Amino acid sequence: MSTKFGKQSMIAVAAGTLFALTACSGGAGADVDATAGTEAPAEQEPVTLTVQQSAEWGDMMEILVTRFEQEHPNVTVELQTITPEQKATTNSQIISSANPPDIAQASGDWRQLAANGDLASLDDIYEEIAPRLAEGTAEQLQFDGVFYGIPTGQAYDNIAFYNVDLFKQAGIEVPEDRRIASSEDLYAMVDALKGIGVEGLAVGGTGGYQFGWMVDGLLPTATTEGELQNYLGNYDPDVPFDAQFTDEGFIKAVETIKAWGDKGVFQNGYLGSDTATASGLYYQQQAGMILGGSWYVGQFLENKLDFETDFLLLPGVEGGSAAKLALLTGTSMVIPSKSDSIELAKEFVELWMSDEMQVEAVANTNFSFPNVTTVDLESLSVEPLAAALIEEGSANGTYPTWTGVIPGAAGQQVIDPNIAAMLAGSMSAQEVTAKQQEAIAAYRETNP
Amino acid sequence: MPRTEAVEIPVRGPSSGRGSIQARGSRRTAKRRAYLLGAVTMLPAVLMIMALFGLPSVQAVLLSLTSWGGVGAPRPVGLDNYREILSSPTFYSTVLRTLLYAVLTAGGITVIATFLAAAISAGVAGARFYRVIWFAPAVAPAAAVGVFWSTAFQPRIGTANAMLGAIGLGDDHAWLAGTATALYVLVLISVWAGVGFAFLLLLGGMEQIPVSVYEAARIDGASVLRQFFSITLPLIRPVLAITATLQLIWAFNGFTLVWALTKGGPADSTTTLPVLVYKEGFQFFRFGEASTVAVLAGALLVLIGFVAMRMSQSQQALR
Repeated sequence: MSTKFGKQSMIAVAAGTLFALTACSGGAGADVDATAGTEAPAEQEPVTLTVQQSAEWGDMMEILVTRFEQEHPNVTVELQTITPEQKATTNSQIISSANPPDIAQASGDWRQLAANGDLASLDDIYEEIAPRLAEGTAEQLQFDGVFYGIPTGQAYDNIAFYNVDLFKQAGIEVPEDRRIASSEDLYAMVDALKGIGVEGLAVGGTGGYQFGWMVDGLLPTATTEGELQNYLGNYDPDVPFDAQFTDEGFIKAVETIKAWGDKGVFQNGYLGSDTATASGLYYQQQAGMILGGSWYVGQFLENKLDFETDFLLLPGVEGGSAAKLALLTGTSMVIPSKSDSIELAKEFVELWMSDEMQVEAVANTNFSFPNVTTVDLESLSVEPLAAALIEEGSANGTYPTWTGVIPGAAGQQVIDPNIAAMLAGSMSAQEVTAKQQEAIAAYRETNP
Repeated sequence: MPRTEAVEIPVRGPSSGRGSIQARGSRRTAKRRAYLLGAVTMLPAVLMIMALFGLPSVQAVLLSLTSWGGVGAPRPVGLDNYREILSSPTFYSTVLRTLLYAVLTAGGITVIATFLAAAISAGVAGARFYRVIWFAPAVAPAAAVGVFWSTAFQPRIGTANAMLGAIGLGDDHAWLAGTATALYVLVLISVWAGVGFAFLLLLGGMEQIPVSVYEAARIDGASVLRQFFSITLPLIRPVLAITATLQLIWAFNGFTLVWALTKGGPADSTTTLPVLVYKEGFQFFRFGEASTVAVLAGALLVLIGFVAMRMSQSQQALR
């Protein structure tokens, strides 16, 4: 082999090596004393408390941080913004690292972190918080009898927001109970919108979660309450695996989404469109509806829409029960056990969960709804659209969200791309549900 | 039994003798010192390569022999991950898709960059301006390129569709949403983003060719095309080979653009090997399997690199 060839060949070797090492050099992490940092810092010592937030939390966090820094003059709260993708993917490793934020957003896999000793117990502050939470909420944040997560607010997803002006222009009659009664009615609405030259329901096909939301909305209408409860818990090996994902109800839910796709309910090119692009389409009045969550109300305000927006609930499966709002317990916050300021972090989340902040910071910024039952919902100063959502939830009840409850690696991150593949014609509804069954079975085998 | 006899040194020729042996000995010592000095000066680089390449690579291989969810201690599983991945049709279809994407991208970049560089080298009108403009996409961050083009290819609101609409070809094409079209859109965008750098490399190669060669060719009556194919291309072949190989490697390893544009979808139609590694690792928390794909892809890339370089060298040797 010539010298020249040797040099050139090294490029190839280096490239191959680079592929291997850049792609996967995760490692198991340093072995750090998990008990470190449990002491509260001295009162006057300057301390920086790092808190993870999402991009749309700005107004809420400003109120919280200002109040906390007033109460703790020696503390500076530093906000770290993470994306939903980071939360669902790399955040577990950040939380378990030797240098985690003091308060972090928990992904669906927080139980693994708890099992590994990476989260601080919140049992002491739960004595005060637990009795104020809605029934069943606290239990979702327990692992092995210990509380680890704080549900900072409530939210609803799978809401079909619509442009009131375009609906009027298209001559669409909006159902009084805000429920689109059937898929046929949905098709008629979309056809009417297309008749005036705009798209139907704008969704972010590459976003990685909106098809999962549709399952959240459809599944409760296709199952009994017992089946639904089992679907919500059967990722846990201690819960019997009674409700199979290949059962009729789950298949029906997935098939309904396929039918919507085939009938052109979603905008042209939705499989190659992200949620921001879908929002752009709605904001530019090129789509009559947009699939969103209750926090979209704040986004509508921020974008100063020059048309009126209201909301509808998408239909359930054919012959199923009536649709309800899909309730998320909101992003849960956890305190990494390797945080340097665990006690201070607990004080911050206690403030967050106080009645005053649940009203002022969480609700009145039109971001989310209070997660405590001790707040008078009628006293909130929220946008009329947010108030209408609260009223709908209070009057007609809500369903828990399947993708919001089960771990992402076995739920949202499996079902969403598979439904996208089904809508692209690469999989059948039966294959999607079979893959889901496999994913849950595998999760039960390998996780705590 | 230890040898005790003196070593007889064979000496030949007119300069043989004790002095010559001493001179040869000192030359050897000097040579040994030079080797030693070379080894010592190379040591920091070797250590750095070991630390930055060697250890992570070894770690990736070790991780591929485990089952690890990203938290806690990895569980050794031997070669199970390799058995699983190598028996998975998804892996093979991803390999083929990655090769198709890499070959089309590298080929497109190299061909277009060669012609652009030839035009500038030949002193086309506005060469100074084009030199900057054609290189400009190379300095744009890949993520920004992804965001820009993903919007540009949206039906109704995208620039690319608007341009097609303006010439009567319709503005509602969902290029990135079709399983049959998304990969080719990716290739197109990757070529757009990569051609600037290749153009600059090739231009450098072309500008090394003495003007007198072209003058002689012109006197002999060679046309511009003949000059390009008979002089320019053969003389820049080494640069061309390196450029094509580098582009092939970069396209094969490319992640940012693919992720920003399609996240590997719709369905798996744009899932390349790096995207598969990311999905396995960070979406499904199967880091052992992700490492296995990475190791196999790395090995494949080494093989492709060797073949590409060998082929280009053979061509040069033939000439």
